[in-house]
Amino acid sequence: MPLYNHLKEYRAKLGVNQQQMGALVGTSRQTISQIERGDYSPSVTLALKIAKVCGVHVEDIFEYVEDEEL
Amino acid sequence: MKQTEKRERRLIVRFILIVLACGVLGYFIGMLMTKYGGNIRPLPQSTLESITRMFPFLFAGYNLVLFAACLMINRKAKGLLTGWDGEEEIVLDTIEHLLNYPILLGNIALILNLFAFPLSIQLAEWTDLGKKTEGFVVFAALVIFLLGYVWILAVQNAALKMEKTMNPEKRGSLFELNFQKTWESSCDEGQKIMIYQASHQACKITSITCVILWMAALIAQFTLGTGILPVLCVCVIFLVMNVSYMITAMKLEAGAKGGQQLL
Repeated sequence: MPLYNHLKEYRAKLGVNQQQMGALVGTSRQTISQIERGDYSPSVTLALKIAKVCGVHVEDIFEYVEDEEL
Repeated sequence: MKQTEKRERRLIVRFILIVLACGVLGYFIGMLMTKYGGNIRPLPQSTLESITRMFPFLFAGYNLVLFAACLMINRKAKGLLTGWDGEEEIVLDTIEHLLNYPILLGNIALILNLFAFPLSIQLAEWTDLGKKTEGFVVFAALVIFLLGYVWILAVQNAALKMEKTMNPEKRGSLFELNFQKTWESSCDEGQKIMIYQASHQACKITSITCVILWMAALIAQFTLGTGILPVLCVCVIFLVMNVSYMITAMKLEAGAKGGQQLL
């Protein structure tokens, strides 16, 4: 999946664990863990919520990288 | 466009070849069934009697092994959860991965028990071991079946409790009738997608299994005289699965918000 993210870094900046991050954006710890591992691409709504909580734009957290760029 | 047409043609040729191969295979199986069908006999009486005598111990044995395995996994998960420092989040992922096994092994045991219980009764009926031994085989099967249900519920409930400790938003109890519905409603989008992917995979594998079972049931109908019931059972499962899949797919296609409503 060519979607990469920096959620772990932004979560560390906020100083919260996965459980607390999940509570802040209205999702579970497991989903936050899956996103951080790159196993799950969140919906637009969830991506926007995460960006809002982190106080940045969606593109700062999530980036789309074409396969050739790797 | 030309490439798509070429690919389509290749697929049609391959499909026709598979159908022809199945036809030839069917012809040979039919020939063999006509020739040897009437001669296939069930197991010799002495073998059946030995199996019947051993069966309660086999039935209890695999239940004990699976129970012990689930207990060990649950204990390991509990140990990890108790010792968790609240920082290392990979530990929670490991515990969640571990907790899948008691659920899986419990479900396998439950389905095996659902088969082993009536098989015990059938074995007792097939053999002539005397009322005392036959009574023991049936009574032991009943006791193991009931105890099996208890241990499966206990280990799965313990795993579920740990899951709910780690994820307080999760709802549902194994003792409620619509547990799956309650549990699913407490899952978020990421977990629901996981559930739907797993369900789709199960649906695909069940379709293939149904075709294989239909062939086996058809062969058994002519060679072992099992009658039409096994074929009917396979067809009912196949029909229910396909119709429910198509009805849900049609509902989702019809409503623009259908897909989102699932999440």
